[in-house]
Amino acid sequence: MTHYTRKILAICVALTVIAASTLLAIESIIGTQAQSASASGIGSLADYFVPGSFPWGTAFDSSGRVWVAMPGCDLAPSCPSSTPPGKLALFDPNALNWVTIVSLPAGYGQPIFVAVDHSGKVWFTMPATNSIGVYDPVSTTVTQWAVPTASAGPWGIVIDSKGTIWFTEHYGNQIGSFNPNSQTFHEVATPSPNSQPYGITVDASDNIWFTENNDSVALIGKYTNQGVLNEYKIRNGPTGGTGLTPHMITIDPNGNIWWSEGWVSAIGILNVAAAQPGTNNGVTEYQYTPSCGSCGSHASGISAGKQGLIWLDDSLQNTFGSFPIGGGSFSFYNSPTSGGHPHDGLNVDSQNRVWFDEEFANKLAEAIPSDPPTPTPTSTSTSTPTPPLGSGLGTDSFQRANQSLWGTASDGQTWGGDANSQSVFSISGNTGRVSNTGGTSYSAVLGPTAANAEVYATGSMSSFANSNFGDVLRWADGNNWYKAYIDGKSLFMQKKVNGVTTILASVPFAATAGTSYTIHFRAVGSTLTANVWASSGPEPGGWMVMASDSTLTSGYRGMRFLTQGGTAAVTSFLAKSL
Amino acid sequence: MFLRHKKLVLIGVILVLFLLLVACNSIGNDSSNGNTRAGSTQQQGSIPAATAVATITPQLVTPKASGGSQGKGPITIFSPTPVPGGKAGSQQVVLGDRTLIINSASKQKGGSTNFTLIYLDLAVQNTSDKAIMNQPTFFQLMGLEGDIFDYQYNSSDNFYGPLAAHTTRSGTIVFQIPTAAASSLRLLYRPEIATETAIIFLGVS
Repeated sequence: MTHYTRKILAICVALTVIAASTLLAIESIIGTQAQSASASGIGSLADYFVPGSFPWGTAFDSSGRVWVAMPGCDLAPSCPSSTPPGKLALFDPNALNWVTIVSLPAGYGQPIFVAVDHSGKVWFTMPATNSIGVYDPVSTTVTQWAVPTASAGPWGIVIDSKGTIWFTEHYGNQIGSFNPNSQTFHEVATPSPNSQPYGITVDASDNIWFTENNDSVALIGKYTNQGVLNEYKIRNGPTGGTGLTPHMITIDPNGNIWWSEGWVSAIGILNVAAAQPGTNNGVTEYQYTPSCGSCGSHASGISAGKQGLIWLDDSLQNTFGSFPIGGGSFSFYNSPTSGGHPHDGLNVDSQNRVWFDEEFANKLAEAIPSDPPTPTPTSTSTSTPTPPLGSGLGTDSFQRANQSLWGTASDGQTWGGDANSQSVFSISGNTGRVSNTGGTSYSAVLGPTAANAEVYATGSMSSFANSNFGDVLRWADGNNWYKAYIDGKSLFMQKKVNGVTTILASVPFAATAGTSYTIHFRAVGSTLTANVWASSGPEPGGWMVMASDSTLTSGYRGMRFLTQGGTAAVTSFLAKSL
Repeated sequence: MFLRHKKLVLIGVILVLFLLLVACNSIGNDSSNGNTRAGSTQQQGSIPAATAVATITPQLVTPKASGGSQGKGPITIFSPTPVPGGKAGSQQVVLGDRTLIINSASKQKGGSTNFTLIYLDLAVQNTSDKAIMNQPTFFQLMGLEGDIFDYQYNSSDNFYGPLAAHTTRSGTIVFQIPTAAASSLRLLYRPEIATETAIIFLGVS
């Protein structure tokens, strides 16, 4: 053997040792993880391609087989009208294969959710064609019915013990029922015009429970077996814009109601014994921290298991997991296929197997829990206290360096509303500027909320052509406030409630561009009063305009501007509680 | 002789390790029928391997339609009709008694990174001989995951309100939605006449 050959052999040996060590290390890691997974409650995990695309809702037949609705397009947010009719398919967990594939005929839409009745018929909703349908496996026929309200968006579906079909109307504010015997519909509207009902379930007494999905509404609805609609708050205080979107809903073995909360990475429970309509008594929210900080998070499917666990999935985290019914901490696992998007079709069967669709992977996943995990005593519930009403001042002299946005006021508080997010706001020449708003009005608010308060604001306009500026009180957002303003011709008192403006009072007041004016606006109880005067002079005695209105009871204090192509320049702002 | 023996031993060890490597590589992979079982990475550990998948030919059913008819769903608009002479990306939606014009759709960050503001520059033209309504509740956003949002953070102060015959209201409305939801957005326009409900693709810039 030459020296060269010996050298080659030595290198081979070294590489082999490295490879062997690496293999041993990998094996060691795998062994540790398997042990951990078993301890955490998952025995096995599998997924199966569906014979269609975009699987969504699931339901079990009396044999424990799994029906899956496959719209063939992503109904969130919508499908093209050219999408062909969708499919239903039946998966047999024992054979581990698909046993029936139903291609809906022409004239049918895209099924999104399914439910199986006592005779084995498969009911489904089709939002794009505003219909519900049924497939009879015995006669292999399908029938469909148009929902009475046009464009109602039939969505979630459930069947009560009497065989009545219940569904949510997601594009509106109703739930509907269908009696298969009389073939008649009945629709029930929620008070809110945009409640967008989503998930639906039925309890042992045939009460219908559903989520009101829109985060401006965010309620749990109950339509009792006596025909009464009750609504339960999830949180006290406004929820609009928070991302709290109650989504799917389920009932645990104790009869309590659970729901997924969409964009706030949480689930909620209503303890039925403590529930009171119109309140959030009995509600607890449990929030989790998504492991992927940049993926987004959406708590989607939810179902109650047989081992004291609530199961859920997070479509954007691509995970599924569990939470103890009695409280505790979440356990999460990756969905089998990367990017699979586990969504609304999560369901736990009678053998405690957890099924969920992977919408974007076109698969049906099955997770079999092992021994139940020991619940930890630590609750991860989150409270959402209503901020206390403030009583402080807000004041700004605008004496600071030129900058974009309004930044921090002279009293140390940070301006809110649009003042620190919209580029129309700036500080220039020791004045607060608002320039070039176009046709959109913008607000600046300072300090805490208050019920009874007053504002003094001093400023000028470069032009009053289709422009105005004034004080706001009880401001909640750009669509809800009281305002006292001048437009060059008059002093107006106005309210805006849910986007709709109403003039409450007005008085002629000639104002000229480039002149500084002070506007004094006060709200005490339902009494609103205001004055305006040229800043070079004193405030008029008495009040120039008065109105009575009780629509808005509390909110922030500030100013609101519409300058078109011009500029408003504010030199002082003072707000105080009364 | 000793060297030759050593060489054979080393080759043997390499072969054994190679076979082990091949064997290890096969653990946890079962792609029969295109399905996946086990082998997936979990946040809390891996999962034991599962049994093989049986192959049964499914029953393919094209059911006979036994009656009924489909309903009237929303008008879905995926290919916008540009506004004649309008901005790039503008679109108009002609409905029975009105035309909805979307001059632009844009987004800005909200007060925190968790929220995004969606700006819609709109006009509603009453093309009928009767007054029509124009209310905030008519405008909603649909995004991924199936949720619908209608929280408007701001709007032009003169945009909402009734429209007399053959008049127009223009303005900007501003939605606040979760940042993660601010993609693939559609406008769900549901006016007082339900049959005019439309789902409109928004090319949010």
